[in-house]
Amino acid sequence: MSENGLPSPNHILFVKALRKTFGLIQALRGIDLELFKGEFLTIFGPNGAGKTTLIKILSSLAKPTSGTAYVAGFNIEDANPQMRSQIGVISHASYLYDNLSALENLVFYAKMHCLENPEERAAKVIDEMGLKARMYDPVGVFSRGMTQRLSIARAIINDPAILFLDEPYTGLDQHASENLKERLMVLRDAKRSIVMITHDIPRGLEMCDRVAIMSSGKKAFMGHINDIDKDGFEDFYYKTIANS
Amino acid sequence: MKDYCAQITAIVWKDVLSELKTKELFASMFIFAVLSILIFIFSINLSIVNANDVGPGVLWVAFIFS
Repeated sequence: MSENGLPSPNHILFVKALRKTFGLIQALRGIDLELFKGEFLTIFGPNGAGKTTLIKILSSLAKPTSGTAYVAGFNIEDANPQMRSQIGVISHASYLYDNLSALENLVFYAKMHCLENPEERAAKVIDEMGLKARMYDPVGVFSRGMTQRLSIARAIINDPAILFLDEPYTGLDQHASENLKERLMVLRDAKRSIVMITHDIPRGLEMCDRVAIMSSGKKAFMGHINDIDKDGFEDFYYKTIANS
Repeated sequence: MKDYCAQITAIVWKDVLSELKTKELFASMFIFAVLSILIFIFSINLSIVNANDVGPGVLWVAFIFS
């Protein structure tokens, strides 16, 4: 943590004592987290650990009960359009319109972000996600894997500073998972800051710079990938959850 | 303000485009329009009341139930 309790210019994410309660349920119990620009953080944790709640708060879709968080230099309490333009979110819902084609969907989001040449920008990110051949097809006929790739295209269309991925591999077969991994690798290699929640330990470990484990609303572990024994991580993960 | 208007236009464009493809709302809008006309024809006798007096009320009822 920085000494004055504020993020440095190199921080893309700076979270301090973040709490969230739903009635009597404590979803987050004082989370501290920091991530630097260009880093890829994978968060593991069992269901109900508070991972999705954390992502929702950091992407300004929910308000914390207490604590502070800065995303891309913005305090989440502000939650203004400038802050939101720096965030891309891929969650369980695709936020795409089934009746519209892939291109029409992305042109819509490009216009919502007030980008110049929305058609050109939409076609470019569709191409980057390997969907050029299907750009005129309605999203309703897409497979789960294609929809997920288009969701990523939707999330990066305005070139946000940070991407939040909430279990992006859910429901994908082996081929689609591999395809998605390749796309995420390209984003990671382009030094885009990414926070990913996943239950898939091998996939989570092979892409990240930092690893965190959440359990019962708390950060049970956080470390750099170079300091982690990848082969023994699964055992470490279960022990950490059991002891937290 | 310019951005705000552009965003409103984008939402309208998206909804119109979606509706042109599915035509889901057109069918229900058509049935609602026919039903509204029929109900008001049978409920208001224009030989007794002035059309100008009941017109605004008819419009408001149609707006609220649409």
